[in-house]
Amino acid sequence: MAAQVEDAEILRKFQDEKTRNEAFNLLLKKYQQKLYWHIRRMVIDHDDADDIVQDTFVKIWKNLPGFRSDAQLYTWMYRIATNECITFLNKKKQRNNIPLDDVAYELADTLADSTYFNGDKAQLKLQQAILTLPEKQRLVFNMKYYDDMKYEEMSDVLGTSVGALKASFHLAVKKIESFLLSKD
Amino acid sequence: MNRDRGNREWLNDYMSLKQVNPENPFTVPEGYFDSLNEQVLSKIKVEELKKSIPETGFTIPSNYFEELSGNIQARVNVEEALDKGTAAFTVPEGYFDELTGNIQARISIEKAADKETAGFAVPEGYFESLAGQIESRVFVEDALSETGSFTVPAGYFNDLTENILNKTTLEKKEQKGVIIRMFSSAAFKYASAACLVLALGATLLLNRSSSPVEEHNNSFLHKSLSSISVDDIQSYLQTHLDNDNDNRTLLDESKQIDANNLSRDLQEALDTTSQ
Repeated sequence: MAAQVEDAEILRKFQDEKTRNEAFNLLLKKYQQKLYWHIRRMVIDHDDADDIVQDTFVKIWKNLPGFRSDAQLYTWMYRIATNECITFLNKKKQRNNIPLDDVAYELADTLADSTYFNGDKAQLKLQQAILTLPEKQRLVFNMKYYDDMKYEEMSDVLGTSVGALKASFHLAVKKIESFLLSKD
Repeated sequence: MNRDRGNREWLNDYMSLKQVNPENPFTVPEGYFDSLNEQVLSKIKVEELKKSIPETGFTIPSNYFEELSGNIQARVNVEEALDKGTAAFTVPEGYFDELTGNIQARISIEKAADKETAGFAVPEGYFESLAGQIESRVFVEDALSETGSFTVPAGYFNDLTENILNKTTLEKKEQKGVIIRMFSSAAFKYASAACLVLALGATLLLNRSSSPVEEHNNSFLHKSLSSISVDDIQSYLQTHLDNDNDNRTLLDESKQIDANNLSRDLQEALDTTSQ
């Protein structure tokens, strides 16, 4: 099973010109869904997530020859995906000339109208609550709640200290709990 | 990635959140992940193709980039040679060593000069009214200079110096004495008037003082008889007075003297006497 292939093996194959494509295929199969869902939870819309995940893997392909093996491949790819998401959201704000809060409202509307969302009422409310958070808190909450990522790994991805991440997460959870209690 | 999906005890503090189904509520189109690999690989190929093909239609001469370094180096050498040309200028020895001191000294002098001028004072409100005064002066000057509309013949000022010299230096050579224009003097006018008055007065006076004798002497009768001798007259009178039939009178006050008849008579008498 491709998902079982260790990152070190993928990297070793990638260094060889003959097995480079095979290595990248293994990489894609192993991480494409994880990165997609990470991206999707941030941008909500599937088509936007599709564009971003493809751009993310193109960047991974371009920069993988210079990847330092002392860092974790997974967190390195997560960082690229996260940066692509933030760049996309910033462009969305500039293109529509709207403030950050209005972007959250726009994403909430997209979520409500989305064909590719089959969650129940509680799950929809949870997503609406998450969209009220600042971007950094959204990232921390999603990575902890959905991916069960450790704070140390999140620190590598976001370049933020573990303590700050813990504080952000608890703030985010409190806000979400408050949101879920206060609204039907 | 180390997942610890069972370690979700933190949710116990947030009961509302704990009640929400933690599964991913998002979905994707059917078969999406099956085709995602190919889509990503296709995109990577497109990106590599973009990189390998030059920008649309733009080309470069063969070996351009191989020669580019040499060309740039040659250009740099030329620029350096040109810069060395400016380096041929020299300054006096120790110029830059003394330059700072010289500049500071100059600044001190300028400051001192400024302080001296600061000692001068102007009347109060001078600068406030200066603009108005200058404008008034300009207005007056403009009004006076309106004669600028007069013109002179072409080349007038070119010949003016020569003309003035001709009229001054040459005439001075000819007329060494002082010219006094009598007609323009006031004394001459008064003298002329006095002479006229005297002449008129004398004429009137002389005309008034003439006596009857003088009037007679000036008369025609006197002038006519004065040319006849006394003897002739006496003989004439005797001839005519002795004749009683002759009633003629020499003078008849009631008649005017007929000069022609008188002359004729005298002439006849003279003729008779001379025969």
